[in-house]
Amino acid sequence: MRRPQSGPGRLENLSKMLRSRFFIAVLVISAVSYYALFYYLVLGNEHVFIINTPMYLVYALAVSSAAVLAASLYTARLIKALAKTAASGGTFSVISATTGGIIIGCGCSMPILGSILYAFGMNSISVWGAIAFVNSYQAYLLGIIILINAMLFYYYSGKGAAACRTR
Amino acid sequence: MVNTLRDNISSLRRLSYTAVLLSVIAIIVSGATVLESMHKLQQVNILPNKATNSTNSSSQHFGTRLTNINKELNSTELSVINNASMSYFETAGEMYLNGSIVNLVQAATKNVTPFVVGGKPSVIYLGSITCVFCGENRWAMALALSRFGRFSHLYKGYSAIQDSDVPTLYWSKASYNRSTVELGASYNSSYISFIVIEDTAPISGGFSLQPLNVIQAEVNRTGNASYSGAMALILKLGNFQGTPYTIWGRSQVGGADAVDFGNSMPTNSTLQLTYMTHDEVLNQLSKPNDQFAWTEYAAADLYISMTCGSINNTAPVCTLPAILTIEKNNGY
Repeated sequence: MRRPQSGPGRLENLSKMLRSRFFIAVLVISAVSYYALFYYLVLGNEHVFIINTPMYLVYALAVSSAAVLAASLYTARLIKALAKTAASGGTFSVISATTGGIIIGCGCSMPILGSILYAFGMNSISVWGAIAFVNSYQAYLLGIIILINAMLFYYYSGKGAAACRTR
Repeated sequence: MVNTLRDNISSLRRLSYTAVLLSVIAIIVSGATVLESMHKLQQVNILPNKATNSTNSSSQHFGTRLTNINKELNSTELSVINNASMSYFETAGEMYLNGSIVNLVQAATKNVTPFVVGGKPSVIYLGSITCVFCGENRWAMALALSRFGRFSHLYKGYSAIQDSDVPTLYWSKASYNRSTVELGASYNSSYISFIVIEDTAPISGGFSLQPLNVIQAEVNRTGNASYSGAMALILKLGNFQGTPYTIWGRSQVGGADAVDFGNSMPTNSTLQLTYMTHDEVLNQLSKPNDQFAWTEYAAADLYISMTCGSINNTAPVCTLPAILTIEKNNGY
């Protein structure tokens, strides 16, 4: 049975990952793409970029989602057998960024979220309730997504560390 | 034995690394949000409970201000709204039609059966004092409504400080320090009824909207059949997607009918309108000479066209060529 990786192994892998051109390229490209996605989702509301959430949370979400994607791809590159696991990380990264973008874009008007909820068969009361909820807890919801992203990033850095040791 | 002990130590070390990392992340994220919430609470607590008519503008910078909130417009200021020249509406309408308005002016409308009160079709408004789009939109609404009647009172207000803090008009004195629902406006018209349902919340925070059942309960508690009926109609239409939500006779509009926060379309959350005073906005509206003012009139023209289409063009403003063209082009 393979021994689980220890802290120093993870740190070593993190250090390698952060120095990897592949990781940095994916991180930068996806972070910019996610920010562009947020911009598009917010503009979709009223054609103007007005948000209620602090900008640092927006940046943190873009970077954390991008980091998960980059780490999962980096891991998949190291261990082909983990491609499926890495793919799930990539998928989550996209989902978290999109969900975060919809939450960021939730303001006075929110046709994107409204349209989605109506498509699920919700009525006005439910949609309104959802809008009120998202508006009240916008920062907290983003914080949760960022936290999950951070945990996933930590998980993938451990996977990569295992690959480093077995090589 | 030694190996087991080593493994255990290794596991413990790994666990401690994990715990430390997760704790740091949790502290950073939750700390930021908690600090932000505390800041909001502090701002709420320092708000006076009564209307602020003081002019301590030196300590209230644009973007964080409550200067003259709930102060009634004086007769000169009110006259800018009530007595705006018809030529402004015509010029703005022509600019809208020939594409020389640079800001976005458009309305996604849905045809509805007019809600009739006192024998007149209604203009129904559902909004929030904290909402930036409602704040901007009320200027255009007031201009449009002034073509069908007169306001006897209007009040100075702002959208929420954390929702761009734009200067606006309140239909009535607003409870800007607590969550409630306020109804009505000092408006009289022989053509239309004006039904106002305004959600309020502390404007020192961000945009906020109470759940529908709370708003509906507040409206129903007044026992006013017109307001309860208007609320029931909004629910029945089942297309609420945010505020402002308006119905102009037989045209229901989702959202604001213009994006007018200055002389150009904003590219970020910093809005020119945030840094304008009520006097500056009123001055612009009294003698329009820039895109901001013309956009407000053009946005008003859309509402006017919708209303004219619902009252068989019986009001004088409905005879303006630009209004007739907009009405025809947009199928109001």
